[in-house]
Amino acid sequence: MLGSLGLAPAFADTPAAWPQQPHVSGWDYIVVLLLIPLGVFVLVWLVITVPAHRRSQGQATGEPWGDRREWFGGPRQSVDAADEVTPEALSASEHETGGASGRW
Amino acid sequence: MVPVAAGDGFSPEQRRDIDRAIRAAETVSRYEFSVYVGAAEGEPNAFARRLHAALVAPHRSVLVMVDPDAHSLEIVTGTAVRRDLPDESVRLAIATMQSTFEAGDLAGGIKRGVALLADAARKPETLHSDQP
Repeated sequence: MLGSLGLAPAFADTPAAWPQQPHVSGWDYIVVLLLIPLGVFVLVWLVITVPAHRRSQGQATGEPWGDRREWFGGPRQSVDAADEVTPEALSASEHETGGASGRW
Repeated sequence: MVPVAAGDGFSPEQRRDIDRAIRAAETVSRYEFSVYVGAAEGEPNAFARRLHAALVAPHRSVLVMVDPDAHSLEIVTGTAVRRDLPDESVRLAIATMQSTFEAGDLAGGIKRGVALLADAARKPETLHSDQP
């Protein structure tokens, strides 16, 4: 049908003046298209997850605490309010309060 | 001496667990529980008593103070709490907390200590004799 209409697919070889393309092996193909993107993905994943994982581990008793102050179940201003407790009020409560001390 | 960087503090999960333990302790004992974790200013026992005295209702409050760097632990009970929570029970809770801290579990020691204090301060249920 195409031949009867005088139409035919065009065939053309690479012009001789063009430089020869270097041969790309299957291994090069795998490295460029698979291994390098995979390596970048793993690197980004590690950068994101390792610090988050470290934070999720939380504080252990062996690690230095520093100047941090944490209150649970108490008003945060109590640390500053402790400086405002008068010696009279403190000595009055000392005889009535209980408790114990310890070290580890 | 090379300075050692401070840790990241409690994780969100640890904070949530400690908050949950405090709420449970307050529900069980009907007393207020406060936990302070940080450096004590001056002598630890005196600082803990000042913190306790500065609470909203110190006579009905239990203060647990933990200084992780000084390895110091203080528990102060108010006058009303002391009637249900004797110092001997506080010392037992401290011993448990010490062993957990020595194992490296700061948040776990606080949780266990608060739970023990609350259990010890729990009032016995009243048995009504007029029920058949």
